[in-house]
Amino acid sequence: MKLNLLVLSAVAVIFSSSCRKLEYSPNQKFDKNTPRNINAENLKRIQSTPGDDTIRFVLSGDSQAAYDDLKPFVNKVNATPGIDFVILNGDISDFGLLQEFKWIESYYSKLNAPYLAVIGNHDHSANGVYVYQTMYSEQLDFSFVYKGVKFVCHNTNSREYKFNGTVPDLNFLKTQFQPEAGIKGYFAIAHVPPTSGDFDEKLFTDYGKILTDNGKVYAVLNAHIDKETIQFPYSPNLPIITTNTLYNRHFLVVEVVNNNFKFYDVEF
Amino acid sequence: MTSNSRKGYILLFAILCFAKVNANAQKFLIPRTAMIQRAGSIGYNAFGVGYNLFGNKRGSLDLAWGYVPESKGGRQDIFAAKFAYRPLKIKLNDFGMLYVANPGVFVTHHPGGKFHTTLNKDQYPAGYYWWSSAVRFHISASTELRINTPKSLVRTGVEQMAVYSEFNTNELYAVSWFKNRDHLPFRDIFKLGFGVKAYF
Repeated sequence: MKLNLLVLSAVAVIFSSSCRKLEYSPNQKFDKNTPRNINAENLKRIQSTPGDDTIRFVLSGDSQAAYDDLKPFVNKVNATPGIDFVILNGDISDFGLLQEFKWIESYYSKLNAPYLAVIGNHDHSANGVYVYQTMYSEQLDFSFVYKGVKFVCHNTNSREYKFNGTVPDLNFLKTQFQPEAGIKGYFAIAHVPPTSGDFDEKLFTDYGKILTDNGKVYAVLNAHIDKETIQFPYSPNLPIITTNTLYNRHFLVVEVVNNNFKFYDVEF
Repeated sequence: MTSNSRKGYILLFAILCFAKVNANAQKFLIPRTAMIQRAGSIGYNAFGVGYNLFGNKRGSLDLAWGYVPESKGGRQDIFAAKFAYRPLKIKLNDFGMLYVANPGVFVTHHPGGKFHTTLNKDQYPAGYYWWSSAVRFHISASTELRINTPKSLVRTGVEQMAVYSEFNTNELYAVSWFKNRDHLPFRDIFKLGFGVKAYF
């Protein structure tokens, strides 16, 4: 009798662990265990966090195929005091596969601070856009206001749209960067920097004009080029900053204190 | 499905059905097995026919079409060509045969506009993405239990029925693991499927 029970429970354990291994297609857009609407859930957490006037957030990017580097990354960020939230600035995945997004999420979900993901060019491969929309945000362009600062996250992966003039969406950006009462400053956050060959060069000038006309944009924050850079292609007052990849074990900490913006690189 | 890949599959089907081949070749083309598989990276359900290779029932080639319904992961089709070899067999009296560990390889095609076989040269510089999102290469390992059909049912033409389970991984998961051997568990890149198969 005892043996039967033992065999039965062993079978039950094997069966239940096997079910998690079932895969219908590497290109599944979701499965039973796929986390959903992470950005919306984490935005609620960001907004409900009490704190001082300082805004301090992490800009990380290109987590693609950097699984070995993510545990030390999470440990380093968790050990950094006062982080309000973490941005994962595109190229979450390498091949646009659900399994990759789930691996990445399993590390990022261990961050103490809530995180938000922005879409990158690699995430456009295969069904990656659908996976991103399921897990993070139905809208590839979105914005939020935190402590009087507006964060405009948007899709700049123009090459994936054959440079058809719709990405980045300048109409969305015009609306978002209309000066608003109560907003003391802005960040533009996107994967591909406007200075990259993967950004639609036809939109380069108008993109910069929208940001410089606003007059209160602290910086454009990008990733994609696998190194930390700062450039001023539009105006001496508008830095275009790229963060190094997680694979190279770097991220940026960005701060706004008393309406002064600064950032520094962290190696881990 | 893109019109090109649809045309390709229709052409292949037409060749198989109508090609003027001699009697031996026709006999060769008649499938020796039929299978239905759940999961295993070739669809929510997949249906296929197969051939014995090497004349010893140890080698097999299965051609399958699988689908994923919208509710199970987004509607998609998958075409698979699966090769397997069965080096180890254990005879189970008159009951049947257990093929313990059967290595295999298979290739899948994922048709549809979101998937590319070769990069669009107008859109990307050469080598921009090194892989094809439409074609996956898998390695597999299966266990198969073949049961002899009772004599009373032999006239149905089914000589043996089999159940099998199969683990597989694909080259993109393998690359992900290879680059991250310290933290990504090897077992995490293997996916499971199971199925039934009839031998005629």
